[in-house]
This record gives sequence, C-alpha cells and structure tokens, in this order.
Amino acid sequence: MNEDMDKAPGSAPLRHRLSGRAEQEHQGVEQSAAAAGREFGSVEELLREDARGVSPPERVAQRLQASVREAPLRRPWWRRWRFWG
Amino acid sequence: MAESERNAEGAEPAPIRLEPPELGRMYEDHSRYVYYLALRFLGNAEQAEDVTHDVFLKAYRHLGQFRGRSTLRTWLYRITINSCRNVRQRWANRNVLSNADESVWAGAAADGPSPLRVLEMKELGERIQRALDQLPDEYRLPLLLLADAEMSYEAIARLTDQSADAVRGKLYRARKAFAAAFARTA
Repeated sequence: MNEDMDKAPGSAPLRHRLSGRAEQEHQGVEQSAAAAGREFGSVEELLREDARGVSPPERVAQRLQASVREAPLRRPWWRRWRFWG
Repeated sequence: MAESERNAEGAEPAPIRLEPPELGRMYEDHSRYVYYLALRFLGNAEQAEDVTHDVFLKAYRHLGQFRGRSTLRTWLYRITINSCRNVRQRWANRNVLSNADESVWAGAAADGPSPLRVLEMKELGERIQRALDQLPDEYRLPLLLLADAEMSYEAIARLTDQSADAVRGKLYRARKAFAAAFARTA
C-alpha cells in the first residue's frame, strides 16, 4: 500500500487557535502563545492530543465499584466444586 | 452532565483504587481509552460514562471468556463498540443533551493546567467533536481507534470486520473528510 495513504491528505496542517472571545477572557502571559495557535501534522496527532486531555470522571469508577460490590462475581458451581475436593 | 474530566497532561485526578485488584488494573490501564472512544463516538458525556461503566462491569464478569486471541484493549474496544451501538439505539429520538456543559470547566483547572490551557483544550475538543459528528460511523470509528497509538490497521480491521487494506483505504478517505470538516469548524 502507498505510504502516502498513512499521512493526512493535503499539505495543510490542522490548525487550532483560541477563539477571540476566549482570548479576551484570559489576558495573561500565555495568551500570545495560545493565540498563535497550534498545528498538528496529522489527524492522528490531533486526536491523540485531544485524547490525552480526556479521562473518565471519578464517579464512573465509584459507580463501577458499587456495582461490583452489589453483585460480586460468583464462581459457577463446577468451579466451586473443584475447591471442595 | 459534564462532558468529561478534561485535564491537560500530568493533571490526572487521584485514581480510585478499585477492588478486586484485577478490575482495578484493567480499569487503570484502559479506562481512558474506552471512555475517549465512547465520548467521541457518541458525542455525549453522559452516555459515554454509562458505556464505560458497563464495559468494565461486563469485562470483569466475563474475563474468563477472554481467550487472549487479541489484546485486552482490543477486546474491551469490541465491547465498547457494541455498547455504544446499543446505547445509541436506546437513546434514539430522545432528548438531545448538550455535550458542552460549562460547569465542568469551571473547576477543571484547580490543581493542574492554567485556565487558558484548559480553555484551549476545551475548544479543541468541541471542534473535534463537531467535525466527527459530520462523519459517518464507517469513518468516525476507525479514526477514533487510530487515535490509540497501540491500535494497528490489522487490529482495527478485526474490530470493524474488514480487511486491513479496506481499513487503510477507508482511513485515507476518513482523514480527508475529517480535515475538511475540522477546517469548517474554525
């Protein structure tokens, strides 16, 4: 397969910069860097950057723990049997 | 409901130590990836949370059925994709929830990145979601799977029931469609 197919099509990088509204709301030392925007060489790079900033809220783990406690894993009878012998 | 707990790199909340340990390890290693796929595939944080919970509960209960023919991550992704499709069917035609709840962002930067960095990531996430929402599932899914650096074309092919060459071709078109859609969100 053509290696070019693994690259983002077109030569233009994917650009992201803060909106004008956000820039106005956050005046500070970082502003110029953020306003200049970021460039991503490929769609994968962009999505991976996005993914790095996302994690499940803690309440998901809490819910999961509660669900496991409510109905703990039960061994099927044939597995329980093994331990009797 | 909040979209997600977005933290710039290095600003993860203290993890909950899940018991039993095998569930804890599995959750610690894979939950971010499962949640991200669900969040961006469905475009809804509440549904993504439900899916993440259900995926790990199912996986824990059926861990004995995991044969090791694929990686654990790939197995979890398969459960995630099926759960996402089920959730989408159940929620079809119901009230559409905004995935841009502002409340989560208010406190997101308390211990970690600057408010500006959080805002930058939030806006980036919203643009990505808007772009993904314009793509059909056959493009969106492989793109999101490719966002996981551990996923090969072959693994994506198995998960989406296609050949690796078909996935490669589809991803080429998907990248092109995404890039165009992303540019329109600027």
